[in-house]
Formats: sequence, C-alpha cells, structure tokens
Amino acid sequence: MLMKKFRYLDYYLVIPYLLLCLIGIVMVYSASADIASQNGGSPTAYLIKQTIYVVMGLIVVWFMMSINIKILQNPRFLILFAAVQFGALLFVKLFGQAVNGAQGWINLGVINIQPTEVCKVFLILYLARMLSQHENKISTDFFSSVGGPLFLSFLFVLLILIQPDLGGAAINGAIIMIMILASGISWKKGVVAIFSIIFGFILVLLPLLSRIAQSGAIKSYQLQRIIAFVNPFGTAQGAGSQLVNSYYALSNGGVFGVGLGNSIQKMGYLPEPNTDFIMAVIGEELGLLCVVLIMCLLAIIVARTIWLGVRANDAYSALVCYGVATFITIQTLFNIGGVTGLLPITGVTFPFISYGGSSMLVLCAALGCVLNISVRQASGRELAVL
Amino acid sequence: MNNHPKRTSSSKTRKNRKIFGQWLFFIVMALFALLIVRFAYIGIFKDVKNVNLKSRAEQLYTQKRTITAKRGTIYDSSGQAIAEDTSTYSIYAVVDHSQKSASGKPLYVTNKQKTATVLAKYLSISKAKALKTLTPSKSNTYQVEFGTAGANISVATKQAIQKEHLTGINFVSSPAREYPNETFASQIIGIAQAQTSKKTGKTSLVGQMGIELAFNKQLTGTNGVRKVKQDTSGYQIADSTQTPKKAKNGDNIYTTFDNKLQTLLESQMSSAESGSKATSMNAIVMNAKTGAIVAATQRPTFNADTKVGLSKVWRNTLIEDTYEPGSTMKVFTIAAAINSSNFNPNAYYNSGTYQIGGGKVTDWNPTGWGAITYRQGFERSSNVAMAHLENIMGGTTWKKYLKKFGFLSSTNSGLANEASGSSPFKGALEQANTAFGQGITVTAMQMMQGFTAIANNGKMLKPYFIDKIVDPNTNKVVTKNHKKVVGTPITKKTSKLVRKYMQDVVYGKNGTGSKYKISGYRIAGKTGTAQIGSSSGYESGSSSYVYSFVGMAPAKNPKYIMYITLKKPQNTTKSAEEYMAVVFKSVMKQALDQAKAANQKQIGVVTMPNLVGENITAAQQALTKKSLQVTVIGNQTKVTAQSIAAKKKVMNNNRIFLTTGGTTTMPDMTDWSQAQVNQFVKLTGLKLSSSGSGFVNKQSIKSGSKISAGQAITVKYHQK
Repeated sequence: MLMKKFRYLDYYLVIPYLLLCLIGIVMVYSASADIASQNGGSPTAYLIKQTIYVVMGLIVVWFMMSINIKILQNPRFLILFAAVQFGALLFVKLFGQAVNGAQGWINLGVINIQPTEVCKVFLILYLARMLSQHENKISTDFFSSVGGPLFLSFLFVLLILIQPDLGGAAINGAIIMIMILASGISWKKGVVAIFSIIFGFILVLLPLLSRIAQSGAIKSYQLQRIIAFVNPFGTAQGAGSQLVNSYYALSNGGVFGVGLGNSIQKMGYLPEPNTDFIMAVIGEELGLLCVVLIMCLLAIIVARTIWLGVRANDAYSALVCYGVATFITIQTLFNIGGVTGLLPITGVTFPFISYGGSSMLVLCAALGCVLNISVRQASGRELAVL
Repeated sequence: MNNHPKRTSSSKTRKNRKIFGQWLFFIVMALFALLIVRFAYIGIFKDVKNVNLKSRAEQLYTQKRTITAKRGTIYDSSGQAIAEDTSTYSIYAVVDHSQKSASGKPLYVTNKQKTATVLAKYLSISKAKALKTLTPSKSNTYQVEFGTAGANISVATKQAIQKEHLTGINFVSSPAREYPNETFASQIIGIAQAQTSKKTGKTSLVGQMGIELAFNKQLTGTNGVRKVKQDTSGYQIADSTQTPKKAKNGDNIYTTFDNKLQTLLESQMSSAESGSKATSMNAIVMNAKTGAIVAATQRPTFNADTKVGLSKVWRNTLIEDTYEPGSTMKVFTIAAAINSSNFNPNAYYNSGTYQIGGGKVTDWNPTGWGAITYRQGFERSSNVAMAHLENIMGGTTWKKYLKKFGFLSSTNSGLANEASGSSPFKGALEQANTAFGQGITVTAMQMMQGFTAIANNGKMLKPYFIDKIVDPNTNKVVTKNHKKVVGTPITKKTSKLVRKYMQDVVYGKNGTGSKYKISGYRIAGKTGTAQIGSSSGYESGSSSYVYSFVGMAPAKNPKYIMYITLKKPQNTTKSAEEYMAVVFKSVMKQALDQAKAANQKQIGVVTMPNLVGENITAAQQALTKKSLQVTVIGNQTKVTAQSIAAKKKVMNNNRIFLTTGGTTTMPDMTDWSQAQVNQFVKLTGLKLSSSGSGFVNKQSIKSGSKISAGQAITVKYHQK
C-alpha cells in the first residue's frame, strides 16, 4: 500500500516542499545564529530545533498521506477534534503563555503548540466534511444545512480573535469564507464575493481603520500596527521600526543579495529575523532572485493544490484542496504583505521556511492531506485507464 | 476507493466548484505575482514613499565615532609629569529588580549588605549611609548615586571595587586632569577641567588658566573620527572598510621648572605665608644664564589636584599684578646712572631729605646719615641718593633706561592677561620718585627680566618657562625656547659694578640685606620696602608695605637670580625680611648646590626602555644600570606596566614604578617626593592622608607589610 502510494507521489507538491524546507533550515540558521548567541544561547540552537521540526514534518506528511482519508471524515474523529480544539482555544485564552503580547501557546514540554495554527487544519477538514455532506442542499437551504457547522467555525475564529490574534483570525476566517464559496453555490456569486472581500478590504476597511487609528480615539496594540503601516517612517523609532527595518533589509539585498550570512539587519535591527521577518533576511542575504524562486516554489504548491481541487470529482477532495490552498496563500500574503508594507504587520509566519514547530507541523498535515488526495486521484486515473 | 458509498455531486454544484476553483487559481496566482512585484520594486528601486532606503540604512549603520585625542602632558625639567590626563569615575547602583541580562542574570544590586560593606571600604561613605542610599524610599527607582563620595573615583579604586564582583554596580568615566605634585606653580601651570560642549554633547578637558589655558589649543590636539558600521548592540560589523581619521594627540609641554627647587620653594613659601600672614607673595627663581625660570610661585595659591584654595585667587600675580616695586628698583637706577656716566660712587650728598619739584624726597630714616657717598647711599637704600641720581641723569635719560630695562611693556610670557605696568612720569618729583620705585608700577616678571641684564653682563634675557613643545605623534619638537637676548641696556662693565655695589647691601657694615647671606656663596642683592599706593595716597603702618628682595649668586658670575615679594604681612612679630630670608636662603642654596653637583657629575638623561613583559629581576637590573630608582608593585614575575612609557627621556635618579600584579608589599618611602608618593598611591589604590611638605620622613604602614587597595596610609613630609 505504502509503496503503491509512493509510486503516485505528487512531485509537483513534494519537490517544492522539500526545497522550501531546506532553504528554511539554512535561513533559520543564518537569521538566528547571531541573535541566539547574543542572548547567551548556542548559535546552532534554532538550527537544531528547526531541523527536528522539518524531520517531524516529513513524518506528519508521510502519515497524513498514508492513512485512509475516511478516518478524517469520521464524525467521531471530527467531534473529538472539535472538542479538543475548542478546549485548546479556551485554554490559551485563559492560561496561555504570552509570547510577544499574544497568549497563543500551550507548552507541551518538547514543543509549544499554537491552537490557532491547528485550528486551520481542523476547519479545513471539518468544513470539507460538513459542506460536502450537504452540498446538494447548500444552494437551496444554506442555513439549515450548514448553519450549525458555520456557527461553530466562526465561534472558533472569535476565540482566536480575542486571544488576541488578528492575523490568525483572518486566516481562519478566510479559509471558512473560501470553503463556503467553493461549496457548490453559484460560482458567479462566489467570484463576486471574493472580489467584494478583496476590494472591501482595500477600499473600505483599511482606510477606515487607518482613519480610526490616526484619530487616536482608540489606542491599542493592533491600531498601533495600522499607524505603523500607514506612516512607517514617521514612527520609525516606535511602531514603524519593524517595517522600516524590513525595507532596509530588502534595499540592502537588492537583486543579488549581500551574500549568505552577511545580513546586517538580522543583527538586532529586525525583530524576529528567524520567524516573521525571515523573508526580509532572505531578501537581504540572497536577494530578489532567491525571493522570486521561493515565491514560485510556493506558488507551484498552491497552484497544484487548486488544480487537484478543480480536477477532483468529489466535493470533499475539492474543498480540502481549496482550503489548503487558501491557507497557504493567505499565510503567504499576510507574511509578505507585512514584510513589504502592503498590509499591516500581523505576525504571521512564512510557510515552510519560518522557524517554528506548530506552523511547520500544521502545514505538513495540510500538505499531507493534499498528497493523499493527489495519490487517490492518480491511482484512480490509472485504474480507470486500466 | 470504489468501495465506499459515493456521495454523488450534482453536476451543477460540481461545475460551480470547478469554475470557482479556476477563478481561485487565477486570483491566487495574481496575488503571488503582486507580492513578487512589490518585493522587486523595493529591492530594485530601494525607495518607498519617496524615502531613499539605501542612504537611510547607511545612516543607521554608520556611526561617527570620535576618537578622543589625549591632552598633552605638562612636564617638569626632569621629564616628570606636572599635569596629565587621567579618568575619574562616578559610581551608580541599579536597584530596579526588572533589570536582567538576556540570559536572565540580575543586573541590579542583589546583596545590599555586601555592596554597602564594599563601598564603605573604598569610598568615604559609612556602611549605614551606603545601605540607606541603596534602599530608596520610592519603589520604582531605577538607579541610585552616592553624592560626592561616589564621584571622582580614581582608576585604582574603581578597579578594586570591580574586583569584588558586585552586581548592579556600574561606573561612568569622565576625562580628568591629574596634578600629582598638587601645589606646584599652580597659577602658571594652570588647570584644565572637564567641560561638556553644548554643540556636540561631548565632555573634554579645557584649560582654565595658566599654561593649560594659554596653550589649550596645542595641548588639546584634534579628535579623530572613525565611521563604523555596527549592529544595535554596538558591535562593529565585520566588513566595514572605512578608513578612520586618526586622532592627533595634544602636544606635550616641557617646562623649565625644576622639580626639587619648585617643591622646596612651595613649601618655604607656604611656611612664610602662614608665619607672616602676608596678603600676597611672589617668588621667582631664574637661571641667570638662560632666562629659564626654574621655580616660581605665588601666595595665595591652590592645590591643583584637589582645587583647594582655587576660589581665593585665580590671577597669576607674577604677571597680572602690578605694584610699585620700591627700593629693588634702585638697582636699575644706579645701573642707568653708571652706564650713562652719571655715577660717582665717591661723591657726597646730603642724606635725609631732598627738596625737588615743589615736593620732598625723604629717606626711610628721615634724619638721614649726614653727608654720605652715593655708594653708601645705595648700601643704606637711600631714596635721596636715587632722586639725586635721577636728577643728574635727567628725566629723559632715566625714562629711556626704564624702557631699555623692559618696564612699561609686557614681557610677552605667553600667558593670559599679562600686565605692562605704567608710570605717569610727570613733574620732577614724580620722576624722581620712580628712581626708588615709587610712582611706577611693574610686574614681578618685568623685574626679573630687568635683573637679567645686571646678572648677565648687560645682556637682558627674556624670561621663559617653556623649554619645548613636542608633538607626541611624530616626536617632533614644535617649539623650542632658547636663551633669548631682548636687549643690552647696560655694558658688561656697568653690570659688574652694579653687582659690586649690590654686594655692599648684603655684606656692607650698613647693608640692609645682611639677613640674606648664604654661607659658601657670595650674594649680590637689594632689599626693598615699598609703600602701597591707593586712591587716598600711601597707606601707613608696618603691615602696609610690599617687602621685596632680589638676590643673584654667585655675585661674580651669577648662575641664579631670585626675586621675592611679600605684601602686607599681618603678623609683625618677626620682620618680613626674616621670612623672606628663609625662603631665599634655602632655595638659592639648593639651586647653587644642585648646580655645583651637576657640574661635578653631569646629570644624565636616559631613555626609558620597554619593560612590559620582561622578567621583573631583569627589568630592575636594567633600570638600576641606568641609575634609575625602581619600586615594584606586586609580587609576580612579569612586568605588566611601567610608570614611564618606553622611549621617554628620564633624568637619572628618578623613581620608576613597575607593576607586576599580585600582592603588593609596602616599600620604604623615605625621601620620596610628594609626586612619587601620589603616583604610588594612585597605582595601588591606597587612601592617602598626608601632612607637611617636601619629602617623606614617616609612613604609617611599615615597609615590607602587605597592602591592598582601599587601605589607609598616613605620610609625613619634611624638608631635607
């Protein structure tokens, strides 16, 4: 069975994934060595941990690819998952460890788990199952068919939002939105909705938030980030410092970069050089060319995933694929948008490259599902041909 | 996969999904493209919102670091420092418990008891007070300081405290100037103090008076600039290729002051001052052959190291104060008369009073001594004789000589605010008065300059106290002062005659300067007692005079000239002459003795070798071979520091301190100079209290006992 699955291994997904993980290991080391030793730790501390996460990620991918996908659709599994997920989100809100202002972490000793990250996979699997189950009734009787699951999903997003984790809530919310729009309702409505959301965000929400933030009527950490986004150079000594230093990194790197290991900005100017701002460090050290390469590798994964969804005949597979593609895309959008000043900084990591266990394992789980679907499609086609 | 009940999608929903998926595909790809374009825009154009990122980042990394130039050192004639750069520290303690290092180590005071004990040991603060300071009443206090007890801490004390490894104790350094001799021609050397520039916010040493002020520019040098790239914690980033602009250290000034003579003069002047309670005193000792001032001081003065007494008098009275010199002026009157062939030593005149220009000139003994010769008149310091001589010469001739002797114009010593003196010189009486030093004001330096013509066979020499100025960066001599003849007011013959008559003053039966004899040397001298002019005429009373004496020795061929003034002695139980005579005799004798010894055995100047890293025994031998004295600080085998840098010139018999580290044993300090004791104390961190002046004759810590930083020592000085 296993060998058979490997025969149908989707190289469009696996090769970019492995390359990204390798680039990630190298760049996490480069970006963190200095900070780690300045903080009195070993310069290789993050390198070793990230390597472990990548290996664990490979196991997760292999596992998710190998299992019978029916297990993931099992109602009892989903109820258990939902319960644990709910409990975890509640737990971090009440007792979570504060890291950089957000209480998003549960310390499991070996690894810090971020329920917000796990929630992304949960929502994809849960909604794929619920929406596919009721796909024929959705267009006619939307609320009675999927109202309950949607309520639960948005409750989870609300819990994330009040952590507070705006970025996490946005990504989870986006996954829910796309999966609803992809569930089989009129594609015209869906496309209109997507563009409404995009333009609504750009033309209404962002200007509105900027106005509120700059008026100074409400003062909060989140609004500070909006001010920093609107006027980074004016607040370069305060809230805008992250973005300004990210700009400096990209400017230093130019097209070809200053060379691996030579980043100046990682030496304390950029916060989180190995997580949220790793793409700025990569831009500085390896230059625009390598950034484009990384973006292309990721785009291949996303494109392939959507393509698998389009090709899928069953609603479940298609929805999982669209969900995972949305997950990776929004994560990338928020991260690069923050690094390049297109969006306010939301503290989102870059898929497969940023340092971090939770995000790596969750992405691997999601990718594993897609690979599983890919293998099924490939073997199905082969069977059909035979 | 075929075995499970397949949920059949209606073709419509499937179609919707597929088409939506295709749209999703294009939208997502468009987003990726957008991100890449944005990334490329920043990376290629390096410009966001019209901000040039490249130059902004450069500014961020490049820090102009000033390389502070070292202020030049002022040396005495033997190459020992009179004024040099050092750092002082002020101490502060962090008490905020949230101050921790990145690795979680506390950066605040953790053990208040121990900290207070240590501070009490090294600083002049009680343990209780230190403890109280460490426990501020406000709970959110970040750091505390310890007032004057915690300021101006020496390097040695700072290092001693640091060795105790207290957490939360930190130091701030500031540049400081060290004057190891304490009171040593203080107004002439001057002081430099740390000043913070408003423009740059940098603290640097600025000369406030004396040589420190007059030569501030040369002493200061130029700061260098180094542009460095650095990360946020201040570490330099490896590949910065900027070439620094080097700092040019300030020039070193070598003065002509003789350490031994100056130290002796200072202590003699201090005892004369405290004995006579004079309001002010001046004394200058000069090498008659060159014009180099080997010792000079004034009272009141101040301790340049502690600044005690500084508020009393900032003026350098030797050049800034003008006064009517009185009878010491008569030296120039007879010199002028002799030189203009108007002096017949054996001619008689009537002493006592002399009517002139509608007024009267009176001798200090108004009844006079009857008809006496002019030679006797000089010996007895007769004003009438001088008035006659002036009358014989004529006002024009006398004024010409006054100018030739350098009066009424500055000596151009180079120091600030030098006065030139004045004289109305109107009317016969006033002109006659100038012949015995009234109605004309002079500076002590002008008098000295004039005396050189008498001592030096007619050739008048410019007084100077700076031997040379050396650029330490290139070791080039920037300025070198030599003997400089500034005029020849009289002939050699005249000068010899004047010195002959000046010996009458000291050795004559009726001489007024008999107190100034020095056994073994022949002195030519002249006393003076000047009235002090004020707006309401001359003051009266025995404490209302400027007493003075000029002496040259050996009379036949003077090597040294010494001039002392003493103004308004308040304690008249002993005469002013007695106080002045003690000063004159001891210093002049010392000067002459030294010159004699130097003649017998030329004092050698040796070059200091580099001993750092050498074996201590070998180092000691090397220095002893060069006739230098050695004191070892520490008990280790290798030299880690030497008190005088390699390649510097040192007079032999100087004391060199070699540091090796480890425990130090107390040396025998007998006969050490104050400067040597101060240097030793600074190097070892002992707490010194001292009494007396001159050279050590008692020390509270026995030689051979172990000493440690912070330990107190009492030293008594005496005159040898």
